[in-house]
Amino acid sequence: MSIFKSLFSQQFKQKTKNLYLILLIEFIGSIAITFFSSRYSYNSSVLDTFMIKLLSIYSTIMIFSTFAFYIIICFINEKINLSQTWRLTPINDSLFYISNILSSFVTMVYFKLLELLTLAIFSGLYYVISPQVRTNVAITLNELNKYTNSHLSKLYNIFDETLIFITIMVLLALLTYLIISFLNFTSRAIMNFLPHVSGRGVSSIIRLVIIWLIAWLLVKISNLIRMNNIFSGFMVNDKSSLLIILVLLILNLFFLIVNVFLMQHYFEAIEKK
Amino acid sequence: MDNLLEIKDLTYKKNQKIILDKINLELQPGKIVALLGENGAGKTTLMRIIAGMAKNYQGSVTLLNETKEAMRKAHLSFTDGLTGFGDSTKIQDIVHFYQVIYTDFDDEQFDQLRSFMKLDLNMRLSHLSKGMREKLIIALTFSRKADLYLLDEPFSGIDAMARKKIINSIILWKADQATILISDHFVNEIATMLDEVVVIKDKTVLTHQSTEAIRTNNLSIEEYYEGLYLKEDE
Repeated sequence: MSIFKSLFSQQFKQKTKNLYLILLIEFIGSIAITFFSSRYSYNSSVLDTFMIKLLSIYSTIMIFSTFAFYIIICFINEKINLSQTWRLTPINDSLFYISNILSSFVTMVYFKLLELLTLAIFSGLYYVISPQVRTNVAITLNELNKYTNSHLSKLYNIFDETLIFITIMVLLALLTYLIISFLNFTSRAIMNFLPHVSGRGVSSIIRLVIIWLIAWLLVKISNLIRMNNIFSGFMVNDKSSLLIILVLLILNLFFLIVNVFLMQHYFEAIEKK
Repeated sequence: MDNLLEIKDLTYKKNQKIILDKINLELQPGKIVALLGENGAGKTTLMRIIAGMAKNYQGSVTLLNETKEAMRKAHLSFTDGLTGFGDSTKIQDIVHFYQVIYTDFDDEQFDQLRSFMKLDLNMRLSHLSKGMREKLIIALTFSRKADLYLLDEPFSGIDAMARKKIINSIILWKADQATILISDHFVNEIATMLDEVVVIKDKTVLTHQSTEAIRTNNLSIEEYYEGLYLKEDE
């Protein structure tokens, strides 16, 4: 277990190497974009405008950065899976792969938490600067308190729906990592089996065929989710949401087992020259 | 004496080609064994199979009576090209990786080897020449207290003087009961430290001889090795 923890910490360290730089770029980028698109003065209403713009720009950047960082982590994931340096770790392939996937997931969560912290700091700054914001927040909290007392069950429903939504997003994110690994492992395993052909053309064709098969599977899943309108508000039937979560869990488990099998028996580490 | 390494009927295919065919090999503890063969003979592949990097082979590989790859990896040290690290990685970060991942990594041993090889911890991989990188790889490999060291052409980029120094010192860096399996093209230079020679030809082990037996026939290791190929050609 100690080797698992050591490996996990090293993989996490590898994936967070550029994380702080990305956050810094987001932070400075948001301020710069807001500054250059706003007029700077000591007039408080302009300051209000600046802060509102900063919060909206930063929130927008957060959405794009999620996808960008996710793609970066996917690349690092597969690089580690393929690397002889990493695969020489004295641990069995199943634990190696689980550690890699888990460290990717934890890295994404860590990244989002740091972004949310930055957003909270910007929001807190706005709260401190603007008396109007302080007043509005007080009013909102008061109204929320009244609503909570009279509509407790509705609040629990909203909480449940939010939890279900987050669970589905997490399972989808994990499933995407697993599918990308599956694509990588199967295409390489097939290529090692086929007669040697130099050039990237053959590997591209094989990968396209596998992508087509996976895409078919994904269409089936997305049809299931779309049928229940999971992404349009939280008007979801409880039983269908649970079914979706169950399907996603089964798919995650399926691809995890298949990927571990492929890694143990067919997916070789290479040493890039 | 129990064998350290046992390979039985090992066959490995890739891209519909047989790379290794019914390899049988046994190594004893405490030996320094040369793995010789022409380019493409399968020496690196054999080492990769022993180290658990190559998959989907037939036959068995046992190290200290263990067939599981994780257990084998725990008892062997393989010269790795460090390609899993970015070029901007400092030597001290690589050392930290080894300290964390390998419980048998000896910091004192590494410090000694590092000064022997004249390596600075603050240097980045991109700043190392090919020879310096290979010196680092040797230092990292021998800083582990392993039972089996797999050295795959460890000296190819190192200058002649440094190569001589390293070869003369290798025997001091390993424990008495540890075995070294080394593949190298500088046969004459490594001959003095060898106990046994294994030659791979035509996808299998052509011969496995002690250097004592070879020298009894008044042959150098290189003459013996060249003689094998001449016989085959005839």
